[in-house]
Amino acid sequence: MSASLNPESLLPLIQEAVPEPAFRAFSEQLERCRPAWTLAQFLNTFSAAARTLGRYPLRTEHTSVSAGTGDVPLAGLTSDCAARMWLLTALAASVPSELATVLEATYDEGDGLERIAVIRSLALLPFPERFVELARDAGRSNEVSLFGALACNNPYPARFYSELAWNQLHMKAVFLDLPLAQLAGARERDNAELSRMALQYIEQQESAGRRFPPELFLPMAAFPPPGAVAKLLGYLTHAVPELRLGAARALERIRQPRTATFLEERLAVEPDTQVRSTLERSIAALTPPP
Amino acid sequence: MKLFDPHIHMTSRTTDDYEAMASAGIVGIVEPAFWLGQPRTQVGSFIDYFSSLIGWERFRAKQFGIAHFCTMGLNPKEANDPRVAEAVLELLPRFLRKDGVVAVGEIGFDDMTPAEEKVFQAQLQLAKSADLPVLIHLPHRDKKRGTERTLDVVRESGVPEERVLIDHNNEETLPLVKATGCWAGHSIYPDTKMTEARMVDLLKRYGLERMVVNSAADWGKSDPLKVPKTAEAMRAAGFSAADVEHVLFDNPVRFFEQSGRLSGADLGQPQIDQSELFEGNSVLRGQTPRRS
Repeated sequence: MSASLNPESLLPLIQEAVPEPAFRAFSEQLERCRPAWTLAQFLNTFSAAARTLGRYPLRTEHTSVSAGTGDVPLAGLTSDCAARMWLLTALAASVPSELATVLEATYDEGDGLERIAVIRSLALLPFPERFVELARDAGRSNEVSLFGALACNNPYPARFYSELAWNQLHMKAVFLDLPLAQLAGARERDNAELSRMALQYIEQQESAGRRFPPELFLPMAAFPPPGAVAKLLGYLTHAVPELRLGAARALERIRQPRTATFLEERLAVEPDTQVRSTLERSIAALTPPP
Repeated sequence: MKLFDPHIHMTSRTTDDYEAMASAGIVGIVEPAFWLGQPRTQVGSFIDYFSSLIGWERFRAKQFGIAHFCTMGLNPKEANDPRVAEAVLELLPRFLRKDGVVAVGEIGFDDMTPAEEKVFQAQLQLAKSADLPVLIHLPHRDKKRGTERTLDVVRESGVPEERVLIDHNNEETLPLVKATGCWAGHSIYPDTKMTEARMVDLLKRYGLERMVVNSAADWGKSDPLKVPKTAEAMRAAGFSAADVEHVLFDNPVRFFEQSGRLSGADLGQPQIDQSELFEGNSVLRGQTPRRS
């Protein structure tokens, strides 16, 4: 599996993914726009991409596309979204001075799928820091697919958000039940305030008898607030294996020598293989080599 | 049995309505752009309203397994308002290019003023350039005369009649519409417009072809289940299940399929929605969207 592609390589991937007549129709639209785009032509092609090309998954061994400012994962990318991302990066390369205006138009005027493509493109564009307000707008949406395009498999927030904005995004991802493992760059953005927010959220859910994602133990463990370690040790014996695994991973991150005895006691009785191997790693890390 | 409501203003309705509609068999709807009961005073209000039709409302419908399509247009009441009319006409091409926008509408006459006629004509030309069908609203007052004038304007526009759906018909206007190639829509209302029983009589008299039935439910006293209730009335009057599906699903779907942006084959299938698959197992977690 190879890592990163250039944005230009999206076009051949789209061609491979869609039926031949669909790609021909798309190419004809592009041809009509030469030598230079008008805004209306660009928006027509951008808007029509889903019905021109269809929504076929890209078939590729590559895991991400990269444009210098960061890798954008290709996970789950379909032909329509890839085509819109390609259109934006092509525009950025050919008429950089127009990019900001056109990007705002595609987002402001965009429907759900168009906005998703804009949001997934942000980290591929030059000077991406200027688009933070646009990203924040998407982050205020309760349309899960749009919010998910920003929060999941997208390096943009972790790279360009302030600490406050990052923490709010992270907690909203928790509320919307998104897979926290897909928050790109999350561990590099962990901070004491988020650790506190995570702990308080977990306590609030416990009081209400409601569930919380075990992955939330990880940001909590980054700067463990008082009570966090004891809580994790408690969850090591919980009946639900996912909660034990989440606690074990968080304790592995904390690496406190005083937890060693608890980890060993649990390892002696732990039936789950994933939890066991996590515990073994933690114990090994805490035990100095003879 | 699959049902389709080709004219309903869901922006004004609750999630309970969506739930009841889905469990009554409605798999798809068209929400025509219309007025909001109170005049809008600036074009920005239209931008946000149109955006919600292709955005938030579509999303809401999907949560209940209902495919949401819409039409875009400047309604005749507000065509009379110089604060907004010209600006909205300029705005429309931007929304007519969007996926899920399946017609220009609802447009037509209200008071039959010159301003209404001008805006009506301009929007028929927009439909031609966007290659979209047209949904036309018949006036409530002076209805028969309004229908005649509507048909004249359609004829002059050069829009092919089979790409025009004329809505809110009654016993007086239907013969006029049936004499053309246009499709005939009927809004079943609790008190006004048309009832299920009268609708069944019209179907007996005029047959099933190019006949379309909707609830036109909005913020007023109306019933989002009028399409399923018409299905019951048709069955009680002896129409077969196939007849019912012909009028209450196939006909509206065939009409709006002319947009190239709606496919009957995709409706009512188990909801394998690529957009949600695309963001991965991820985005749907915890939502447990209803699947038909």
